[in-house]
Amino acid sequence: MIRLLAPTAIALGFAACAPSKPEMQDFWYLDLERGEEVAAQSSRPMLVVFR
Amino acid sequence: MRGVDLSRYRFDTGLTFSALVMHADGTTYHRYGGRDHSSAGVWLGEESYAAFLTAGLERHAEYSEAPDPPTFDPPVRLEDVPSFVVKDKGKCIHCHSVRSAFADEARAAKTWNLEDAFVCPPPRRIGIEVAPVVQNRITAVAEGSPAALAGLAVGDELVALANQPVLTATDVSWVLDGLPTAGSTVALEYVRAGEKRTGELVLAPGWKAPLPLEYSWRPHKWDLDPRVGFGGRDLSAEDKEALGLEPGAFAFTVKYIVAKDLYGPAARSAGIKKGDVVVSAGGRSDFENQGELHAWWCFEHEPGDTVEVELLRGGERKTVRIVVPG
Repeated sequence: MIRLLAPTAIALGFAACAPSKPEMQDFWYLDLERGEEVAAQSSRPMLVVFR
Repeated sequence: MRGVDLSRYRFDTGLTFSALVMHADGTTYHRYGGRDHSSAGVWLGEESYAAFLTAGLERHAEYSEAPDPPTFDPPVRLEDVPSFVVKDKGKCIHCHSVRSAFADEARAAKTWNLEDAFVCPPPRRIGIEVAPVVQNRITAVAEGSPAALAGLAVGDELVALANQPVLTATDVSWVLDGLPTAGSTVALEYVRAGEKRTGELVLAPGWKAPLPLEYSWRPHKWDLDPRVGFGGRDLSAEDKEALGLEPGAFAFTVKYIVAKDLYGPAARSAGIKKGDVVVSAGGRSDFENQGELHAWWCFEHEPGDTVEVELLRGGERKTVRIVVPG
């Protein structure tokens, strides 16, 4: 299980990528300190951030 | 770090920001983060982060064609490690606590070796500097270094090291982290003028030992013995000028002397006092900051050594001699 999260730091990183890929929905997110657990799926890569 | 399986999520826990792109099966594609003595954000930037994410998507697509799930050691959480349990206050666990806890475990088991502290060597440990944006592009090669002897040149782009893909400075450091201090020969892949080339990097015994300045920012230096036993605040240029020191001179004010270990009392009995301004140690006044002094002290001294510390007190220069306890 992983937890879904879009923390500000990650969002800022994706803002830098706009308008081209990658986009936030291209990844699963892991932040074990916060967020809601979701099942990891192999359809997308996981972005795991420690900060 | 609370709840994180340290067997599965492996990265440089000394960093202030670290990102991994992984497959759900635990395969790590790339690592991003990095830090050095000049800044906690030296390797962080929008363009390099975007490149890291893009490469992660590309590698995920490639890997998904032929997955090869890794195996992992049994799960380990920091809050289950005995040396951490006694310190756990139930709050947020900082990443840098990981190295300290496992070092404490090793000391308790009498298996601790200083080489265990030689973690995640920066690219310059093999003789290369890399670009801040395209972090696998080489911007400098040190003469006579392993990289130079392997034939690497400015402008080359590293694509694999020890058969592991590398994209970021953190990728390079992580691969180097896994190589033995005793030395080894490592396969290289790089691109020069659009052409893929291969080579071998020969690492001599002891290659991994960091320069004190390289290690100065690592929180883990505070856990290495022997310790200085005192510290404080690096002086500003204005403070130095007021004391008649050059703006770039090494100087810090002693704000604390540790009471609970061997080292603070040794410094105190040698004559160190709060408020002293330390300007040199061991004849060296070229430390870039106090962190470099602390790393130098633990890497280059043993119990019984005498270290002369020069300081300013009340407008006068004094020298104290600290015998390193142990």
